[in-house]
Amino acid sequence: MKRTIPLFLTAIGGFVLIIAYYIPHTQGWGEVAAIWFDILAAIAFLLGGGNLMKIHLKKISDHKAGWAYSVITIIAFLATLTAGLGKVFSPPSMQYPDMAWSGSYREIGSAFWWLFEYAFKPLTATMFSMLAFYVASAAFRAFRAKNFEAILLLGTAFIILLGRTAAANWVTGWLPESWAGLKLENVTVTIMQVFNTAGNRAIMIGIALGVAATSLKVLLGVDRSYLGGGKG
Amino acid sequence: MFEFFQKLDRRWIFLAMFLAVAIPIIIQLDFEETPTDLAHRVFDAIENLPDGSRVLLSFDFDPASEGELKPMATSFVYHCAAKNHKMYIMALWPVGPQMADDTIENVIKEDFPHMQYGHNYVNLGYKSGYEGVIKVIVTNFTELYSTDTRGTPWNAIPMCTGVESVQDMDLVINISAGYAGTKEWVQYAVTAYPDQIRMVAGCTGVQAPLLYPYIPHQLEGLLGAIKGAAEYEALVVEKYKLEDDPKYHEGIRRMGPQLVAHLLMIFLIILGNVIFFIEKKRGGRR
Amino acid sequence: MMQEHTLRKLRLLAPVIMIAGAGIAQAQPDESERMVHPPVDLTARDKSWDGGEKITLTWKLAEGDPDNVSFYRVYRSLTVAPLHVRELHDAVSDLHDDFEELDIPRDQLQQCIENVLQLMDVQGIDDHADLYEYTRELRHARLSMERWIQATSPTNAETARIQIIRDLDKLDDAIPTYEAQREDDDSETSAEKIAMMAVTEPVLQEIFGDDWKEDWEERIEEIPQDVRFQLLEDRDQAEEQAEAQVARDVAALGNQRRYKSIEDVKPEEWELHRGKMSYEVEKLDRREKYWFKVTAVYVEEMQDVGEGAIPREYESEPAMTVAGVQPARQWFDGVRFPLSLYVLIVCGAVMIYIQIARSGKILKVRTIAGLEAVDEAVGRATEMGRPIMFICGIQDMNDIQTIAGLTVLSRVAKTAAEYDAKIEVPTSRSLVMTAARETVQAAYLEAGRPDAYNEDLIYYVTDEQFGFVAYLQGTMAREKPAACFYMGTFFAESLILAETGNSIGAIQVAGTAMPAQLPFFVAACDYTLIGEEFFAASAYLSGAPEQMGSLKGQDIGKMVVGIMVIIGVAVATLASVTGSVHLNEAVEFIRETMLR
Repeated sequence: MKRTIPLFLTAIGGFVLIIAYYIPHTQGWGEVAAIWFDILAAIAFLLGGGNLMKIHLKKISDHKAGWAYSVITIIAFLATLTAGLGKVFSPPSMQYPDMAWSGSYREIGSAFWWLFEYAFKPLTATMFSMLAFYVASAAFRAFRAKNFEAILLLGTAFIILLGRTAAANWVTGWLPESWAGLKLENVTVTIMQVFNTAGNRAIMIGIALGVAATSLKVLLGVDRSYLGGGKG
Repeated sequence: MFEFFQKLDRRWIFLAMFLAVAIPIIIQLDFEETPTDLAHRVFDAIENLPDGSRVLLSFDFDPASEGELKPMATSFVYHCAAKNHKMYIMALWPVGPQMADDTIENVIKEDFPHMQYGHNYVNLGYKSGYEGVIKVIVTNFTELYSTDTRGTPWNAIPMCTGVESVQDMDLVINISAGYAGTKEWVQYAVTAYPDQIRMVAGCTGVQAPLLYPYIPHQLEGLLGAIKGAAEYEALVVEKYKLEDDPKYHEGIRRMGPQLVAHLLMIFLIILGNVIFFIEKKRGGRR
Repeated sequence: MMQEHTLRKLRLLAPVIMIAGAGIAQAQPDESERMVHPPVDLTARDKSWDGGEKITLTWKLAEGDPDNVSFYRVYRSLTVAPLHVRELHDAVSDLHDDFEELDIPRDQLQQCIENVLQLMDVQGIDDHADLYEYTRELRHARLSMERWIQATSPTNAETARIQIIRDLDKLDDAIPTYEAQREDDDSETSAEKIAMMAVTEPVLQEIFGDDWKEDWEERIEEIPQDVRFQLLEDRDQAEEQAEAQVARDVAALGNQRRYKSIEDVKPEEWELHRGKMSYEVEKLDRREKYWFKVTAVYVEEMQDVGEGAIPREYESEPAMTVAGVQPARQWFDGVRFPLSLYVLIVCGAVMIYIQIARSGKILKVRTIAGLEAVDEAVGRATEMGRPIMFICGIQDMNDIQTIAGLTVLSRVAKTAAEYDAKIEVPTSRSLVMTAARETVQAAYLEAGRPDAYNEDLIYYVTDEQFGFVAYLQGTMAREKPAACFYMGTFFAESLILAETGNSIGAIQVAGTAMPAQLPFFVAACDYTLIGEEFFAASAYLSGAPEQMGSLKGQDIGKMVVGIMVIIGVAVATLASVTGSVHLNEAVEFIRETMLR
């Protein structure tokens, strides 16, 4: 029973939506399903928040390695939640200047805005910028001219790396206009638009078929391991 | 020496990369940009619209990709404001409205103080649902956007009267850092209404190769990563004589560190291969 | 009394219709001796098998020299909107009443009304989007009148203000009523509703007092029977009159149809050969009837007019459709028919092969190194006494990649349970956490070790992309897992995770269908499942015959795509080389019908 009902819901939902796609009268059903999912996902926030508290409080109480990080996590979580829900220091909106809570939680000057601007933004940007370091170390380690294909890949990489900077102009800027197609920046665009696109499309077609087959297996209940039931 | 490079600790590479980026920033190394065809197309799409046209700007990025995308957003907003286009700003990413607010503060409020909220620009805010949002607003804005981000009802916003859907826009500009972004806009807006919706986009470097197939029919132009931003910036700066305002040179300024970082990458790849070949010659382990 | 009021309103409508009708766009007469022949035999028909928003036009090309035509201009009739006219008119009429009561000089009042009427005519009346525009103009007009009243007669100002605000509210109410009516074809038209309410309101007010609006529906029985009958009669009469007026408006506006140009269509080379063109008008309203006309236009060449001059346009007489065509919505969207065919072929092949596999036929699948490595990775983790880390991407359960990731998790967890290795699954969505717990628990049960299952090792971290990455990096650096699996949707974090995993010397297996992230995983991981391999993983790992069947079915899909790509490329190449009409028609069919 625990497996049958979810499988039944999956199958009904999936097939109805597939059929609805072809029938103009029912084309709004997809949106309805998307809204249902949003509602479920919103409820899941509570589940997530509860679980986060539980795991970290347990870590703290057990004094597990790194429990201090859990303290920081919980403080940050509660502080952000309070700042957002309570609209702390949030000025009232222009329409209702007399109502204290009428402003948006992320109005300029509010506590949430401050957290976003001076904590979240720099932290996220830092995480993203770490990519530059990892790309460099991965390139150093993995980019080896082991065979002919790898050599082709290396050559292409050099063209793209140079073509995306001002160096392209130094290397091939002297070429006359009639040879403009051979300028590095244009070669870069051609590589991306033609060769890269061709390869990408092949991968995409494979993926699309994989998605279709996997979805069908899920809808038919052939593959139910995601429900925790290998054989069924 | 060879041993050192063979077992090179990655922290040396990190240090080299740090210096490759930091030094050009400190010495303000920058170069002149020659705009490619794609940047010209983006510029022309906005420039050739009649003054006062309706432009939808979707800020689909977050602080993480701000480095690549903020210069584009700044130039897009400046360009639209200079052309007196009506800007309808929205976001498919939760933090998009904040990114938009930032750009509005820096560009519109500073350089176009005469522009009025609700008359010349409006921030419609974020709606959850990723491509679902596009699917809905492509035929009806008010179904999702009953108010703007300040809570003003749609019909009370002067520039929103007469606007029913994305199809009423003269151009859609999307600044995208991933899902949901340019690809979804192309698939669910432009492809669904090819005659009604025109679009240009700016995106991160990782996304760009996946979007080239859409040019020029579904996407009129595309700015890929900081390079695209710098090229477009160069065009805007030249046309509107912005040589003295540093905030419109952010993209161009970032090309200096990018060049040195790319050269370092090339050097590292070559170094890696030299080590590889020496090892091979010596019959050592791979 | 009431009827008189309504009639006065209707009379006022006449000038509006006349003004609206006066702006009819006529085909421009030829401005010089240059004669452009019109197209002939214009026909319009509803596009069959669509959602009810398209009409197909076909016409024969203009006679004479084809070089004499630069393009064809397509016009469609504007949707007649008597209801908008009526609502606006009512507003004007109320205005009229207000001012009359306030005893304002008639000439001033007249001027105000003229202004409003003029505003209404500025752009003609088209789609109901315009209604907002007019309402706004009307508001402006009213506000200016309000200012005028305040300036001349302060005692009257307050009364006028209240009245005007009340009327504006009414106008606001009229819009949603109109909108609701557009949504539901069966409801009464708003004009009729307004007319009916105009009759009933005063009576209800008289009976129930000023706050009649609150509970009149419940107290309807309290109205004396004769009054009720009278009310119903008056109401019916008002409704009839309103209906008749709407019909008259439609007829009056319908006879003097207004058109707007929607597209300039340039004939293709092969269409010139064929002598016939077609054009699909889109985005139509299935509740309206449409008329069309097409003209042939010649535009002077730039070299003929010289630098700086504007080239002149010569437009032919129009070819017109006689009867109005209404787009109809069918039960099946034909545009999607080819897609449904592919879906049937691919799904059919998958289902057939699943059946074949179930019947006992052995199907072979090539070795996928990444999946072979699962046992090795888990084994190593056990030997080293370190945990295994499994990440199902950063998207929610509605992403098929997350589901594929959970399928792999099921197998990895089972192996881990058998080897008695610790498996840790941090997730970035709480729904994924719940699903992952179910999966792992079932895997432990299947491995015969339900006691070893620890729910706390499968936990939610944060929805925030880089917050999640930061947590994973920290955990990896501290706990040093011996094996890391990345199976699902990944974005920019792919390389950060894989490089961190590499730096701690973990065996790493990745699987994703995000093309942009594949290079990063390939560079930094030991094994990568590329795109479809990732989706094939569950079949491969389970080894169940029906799962193998699905892979075989997928191959049939790939063959169909391959054949179609070859046919498409061949036909398009031949069409552009030979310029053949038939081949070009075939290309257009492939592009516009099969690939839509």
